[in-house]
Amino acid sequence: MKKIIIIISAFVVIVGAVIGIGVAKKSDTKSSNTIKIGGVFDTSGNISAYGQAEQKGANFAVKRINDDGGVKVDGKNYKFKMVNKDSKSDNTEAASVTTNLINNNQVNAIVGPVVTSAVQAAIPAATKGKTPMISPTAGADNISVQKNGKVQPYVFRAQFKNSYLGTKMAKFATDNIKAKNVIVFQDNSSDYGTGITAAFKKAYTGNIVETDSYQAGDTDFQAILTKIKNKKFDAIVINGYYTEAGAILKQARDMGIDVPVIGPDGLGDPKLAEIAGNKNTSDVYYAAHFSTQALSTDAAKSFVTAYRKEYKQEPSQFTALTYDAVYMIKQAIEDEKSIDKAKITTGLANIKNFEGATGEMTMDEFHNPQKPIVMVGVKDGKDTTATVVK
Amino acid sequence: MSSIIQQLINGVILGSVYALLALGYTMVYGIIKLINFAHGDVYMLGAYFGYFFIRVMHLNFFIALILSMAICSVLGMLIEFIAYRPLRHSPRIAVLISALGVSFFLQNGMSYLYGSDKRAFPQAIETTQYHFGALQISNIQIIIVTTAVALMILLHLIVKRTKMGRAMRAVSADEEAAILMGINVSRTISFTFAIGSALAAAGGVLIGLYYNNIDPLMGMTPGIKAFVAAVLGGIGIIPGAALGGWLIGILETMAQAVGLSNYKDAIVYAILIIILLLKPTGILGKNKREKV
Repeated sequence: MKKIIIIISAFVVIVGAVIGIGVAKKSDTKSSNTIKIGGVFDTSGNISAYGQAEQKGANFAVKRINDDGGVKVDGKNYKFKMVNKDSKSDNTEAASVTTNLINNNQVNAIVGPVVTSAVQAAIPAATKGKTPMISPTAGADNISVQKNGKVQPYVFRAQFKNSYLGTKMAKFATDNIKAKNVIVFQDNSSDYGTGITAAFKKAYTGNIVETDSYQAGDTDFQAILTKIKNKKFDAIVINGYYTEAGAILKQARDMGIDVPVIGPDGLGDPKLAEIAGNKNTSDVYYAAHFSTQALSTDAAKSFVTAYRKEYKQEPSQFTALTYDAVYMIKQAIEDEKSIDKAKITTGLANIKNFEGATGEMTMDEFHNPQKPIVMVGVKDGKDTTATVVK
Repeated sequence: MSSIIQQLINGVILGSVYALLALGYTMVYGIIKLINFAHGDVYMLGAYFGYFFIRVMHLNFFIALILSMAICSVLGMLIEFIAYRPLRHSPRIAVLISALGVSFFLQNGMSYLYGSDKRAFPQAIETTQYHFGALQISNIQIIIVTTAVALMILLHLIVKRTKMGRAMRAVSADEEAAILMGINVSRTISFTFAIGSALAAAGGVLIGLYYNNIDPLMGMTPGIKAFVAAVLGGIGIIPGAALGGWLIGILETMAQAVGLSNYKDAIVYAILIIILLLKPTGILGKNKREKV
């Protein structure tokens, strides 16, 4: 008899505990006044310069939103909260961090990852978790398109897609630089380099003398530069990131090749001039999403003023794009009047004439924002000009 | 024609650095039959010390070069003392794994302490170009080749003319006999590591100056290529390492010159496989009969 009583009471305690936990959990999500945004940024590894700049942009955006009173949905006030995780410049890491944010941290939306390949690795995780994921700076055309040609429902981006970049660079080379013959260098180890090159080739009306490939991490370009030196060309296009572009620039200028150099946004980092040397970093033009010298919206002006005040430095385009990504999520929440993940997804897909720090943008049917592009001209290692290419 | 010669010059410059690194591999292999995978990371440390001395201490480039060689030679001895000496009588695979461990430790330790970003190496010497007809060569390229050749000559003199060099050759030929002859084997091995590491550090500082960027993983690829160079020339044979280094440098440059830049690394590794299959002792290696 005693035994039965003990068993029954134990059973009651256990059931009660389970129900209690369930109730507690439910009430926790209901009464919570925070919207959690997961941040997948490479704050260490090869591309940590981008990752760190982006994390800063996300944190800054969240801070500003909260300082302005957060976001109001159905008369209820919500605060934003960033949950940042380091994806270590590694694709596998990006995928597992994304899963972790969705399952363990229960985030409402994700900002990141930083580069195309990491986004591609993280898509299955976001799709399975039905969580909108907005990458500030992934460029490859196909990230928001499924194999069957339909749109990836949960994938968005704040920057324009690569082919858009390559197309505009080709226009800039013809119209502004007046280059008739160009030599193209491409980083062959990423979709970024090859994707832009493909679009550039399609759009460029002049003659492409030759295309040379290199791998990320290469440091010696003497052989390739010696080979091209005596050919006839008016400009060099480097489709890659700042580290190798800096090395190419230095070695080319040292050799006496002083034609204009045009590159995508991967060149837009102060490290470019640091690696190439200030003297060698002249007559260089890189595509940008944003330049503090060519601010096209009120949101941009307010962002730059506040950022300067907060950090006593100039915001980079990576910071600005990530800032925009967070504000786009805010916009989506306000438009749909819900913090539900599915609603945020719909809201992001329907963003129209959104005034961001990087210009006015409208999402196309494949979740790519349509917006103006800026070509920044560098002289003696300093950004001196900014030309808007529409 | 002139562009072929220019490419050869480019290859020799790149090869000089591979040769400096390959010498360290080959000396260590010659004396304790160990492929020291941490060697490429000592090269990285050398570059970082050079960076420190020039950037922070504002020393002259050559003083920075010599100081970083000195510090790395001490580090080389330390690595040997901590990671390899206790395993001297263990199976060779244990020492090899220990070497890989040291390599990862150095790479990740540096990433942790100083960040994994690329750093711009200070331009301690202004680049100037010299023209000889259609050919051109910069003062930095001349510094690289002359420093490398000078160090190789110095190494040759140490190995052939000094008592320590004789001890090294003796230990390499037969360790037990060397002990019986009263040679302090431990000290000789330490000395070998010191010299090898100093050469690697020199390579690191020179590359820093030349390419103007350094990072904690910079030793990986050159380390493996230098290893291929050492095998190509005949591992354990000092002139072979220099020869192998230059050959790999020229080969890599030529591969890019004919438009195979995508495959330049693949070509280097293919050479390794071919050499191992056809002539495992390398170009200068002699076929020794194993005593059974």
